[in-house]
Amino acid sequence: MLKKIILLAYLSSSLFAEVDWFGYYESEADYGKVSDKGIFYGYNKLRLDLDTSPSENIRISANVIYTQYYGQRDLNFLDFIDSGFWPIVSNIDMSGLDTLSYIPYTLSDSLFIDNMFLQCHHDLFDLTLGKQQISPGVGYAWNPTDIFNLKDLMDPTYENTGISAIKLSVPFGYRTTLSGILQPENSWNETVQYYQLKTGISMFDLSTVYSRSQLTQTGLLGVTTKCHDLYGFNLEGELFGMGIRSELAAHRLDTRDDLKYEYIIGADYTFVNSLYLLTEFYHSDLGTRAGQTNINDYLVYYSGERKSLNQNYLFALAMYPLGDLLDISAFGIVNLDDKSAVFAPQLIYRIFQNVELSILGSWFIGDNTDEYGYQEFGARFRIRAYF
Amino acid sequence: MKRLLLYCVVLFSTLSATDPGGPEILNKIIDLMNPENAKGVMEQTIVTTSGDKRTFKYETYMGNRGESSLMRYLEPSRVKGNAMLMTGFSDNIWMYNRRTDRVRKLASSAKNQKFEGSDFTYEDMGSGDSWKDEYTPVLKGIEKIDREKCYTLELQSKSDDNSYKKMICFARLEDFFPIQIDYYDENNILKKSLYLENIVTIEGILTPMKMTMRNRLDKTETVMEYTSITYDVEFDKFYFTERNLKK
Repeated sequence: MLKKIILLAYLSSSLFAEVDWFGYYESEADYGKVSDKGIFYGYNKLRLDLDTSPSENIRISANVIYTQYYGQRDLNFLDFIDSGFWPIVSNIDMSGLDTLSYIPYTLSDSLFIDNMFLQCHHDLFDLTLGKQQISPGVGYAWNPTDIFNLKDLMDPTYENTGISAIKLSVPFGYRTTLSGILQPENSWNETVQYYQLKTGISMFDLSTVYSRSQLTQTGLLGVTTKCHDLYGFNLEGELFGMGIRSELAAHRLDTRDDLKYEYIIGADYTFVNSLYLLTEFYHSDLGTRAGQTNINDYLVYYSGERKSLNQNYLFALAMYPLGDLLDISAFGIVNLDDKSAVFAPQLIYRIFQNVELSILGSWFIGDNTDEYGYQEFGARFRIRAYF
Repeated sequence: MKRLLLYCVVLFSTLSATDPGGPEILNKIIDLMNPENAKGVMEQTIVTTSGDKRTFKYETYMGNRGESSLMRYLEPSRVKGNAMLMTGFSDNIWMYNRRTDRVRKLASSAKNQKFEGSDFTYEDMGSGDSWKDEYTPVLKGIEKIDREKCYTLELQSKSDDNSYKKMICFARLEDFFPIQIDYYDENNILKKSLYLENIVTIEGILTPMKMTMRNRLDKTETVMEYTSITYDVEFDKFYFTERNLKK
């Protein structure tokens, strides 16, 4: 991998006279109090971007990320959920049953190429080839029509890992674009296909989506793969000065199954005094009903194969600038099914022109068997310096 | 009292029947400030409450006499590549984040918010022609501003929804070019003042190379300066679209 990156850097510097280098250094420290344990870990991350345009309509861009973890790197997945959910398995000599108390999860240092793509702009189309950012959907906390990315609800605007894909967009008129995305896999059947027709009517942007992919679900009993068709709709606009956002995804898992619905309805508003409020309601038929949650649901959810553990959630965010360098905000996520919640105030301070510091606290409310009840509180300290 | 009377006489007696009316002056100001097309590079320096300076540099494209504009950040690294598209005289605003490749449409309630923490709001950056519909122009008289004789044009808000209760434009008698605009908030308190300086003629068009917005309440200041500008530019009819925002 290191050789590839050196080669990439060498090629870029020798082939193109005007390569733009930039990026950031980020350091984060996290502490979480879970039941009777305290867990501390963190990382140092360097992102290095290069960007060049060998001609007016061509852009080549790439970035590498090196992440080095520290603190408690060997984690036990089961530390984060109540022991009542721990799986019961046959013991080694098959003479009886034991409760499994350890599913390891290791935070490993990594060095990888995050994005690496070529973009070609023509009067009739835009083509992007390679590992690139693909961010469908209009929601802030959840994106039901996004099959490519996993969002961290505690940090929904954090950048995603690039997706290896071919993206072709064809504009029709002023606000209409037809886009097709292919994420090639071993065979055409496994290849992810994603099509979107986006248009604008008055104060609204609307889009319809169809995608076909394979949905892999990991459980204790193994991995299952299903054909996944998604029919989606996005709406973004405003009514009486208030921003309105909505996404609807209808999922068909295997051709025989009924449609499962997943949607968000959201609104935001900025008051004259600069107070910004945002709220989103999320529903997913794919989530588990309250009281029926088991270890498989946690495994599928934490591995990112499903966007929620249960079915109904509320997200609310308030943000207020305290002067020109400091923003305070707070958000809350409520699991409406088990009535557990997390509340997280945050402070963002732009210390210098290119240096940003954020401190986030989180308090969890609920019973031990609830989604947000098992953890007690957490804190995150992050500093990012751009160059 | 006598002094006040004398001041009023001096202030208003200079108006004559040959002077243009408020709407005419406003039309001329809008025409002068919104050329057909423009393309340039701007540097924006924000002087914060603590006295620190934050500098941004961006490419700016303006079309359809200010109806549409696109800004793409060049510096600092924190926002490099991010862009903003405004159409309909800032009625529609889209923000583009290059790192996530995500476009977000802002609701109009955000129009009166600070643009990148500066003393300019999104609305200040792209309101252009909309003053004609949203404000009633009243010519109040002639005053000397920085040794230049200026028309004092008061723009009175027609609706409570507008960001400013009133604005006062001081436009030079010789060419109607505004050199100062005072913005008053909903309580009729002077909130901020825009100073247009270093006015030069570029390609036949009067251009303020430096614009300073001084916030009277927060005691902050933002300076925007052109480092290059040209009006000899044509934009494709689909230039000011989301597609181009993401380029």
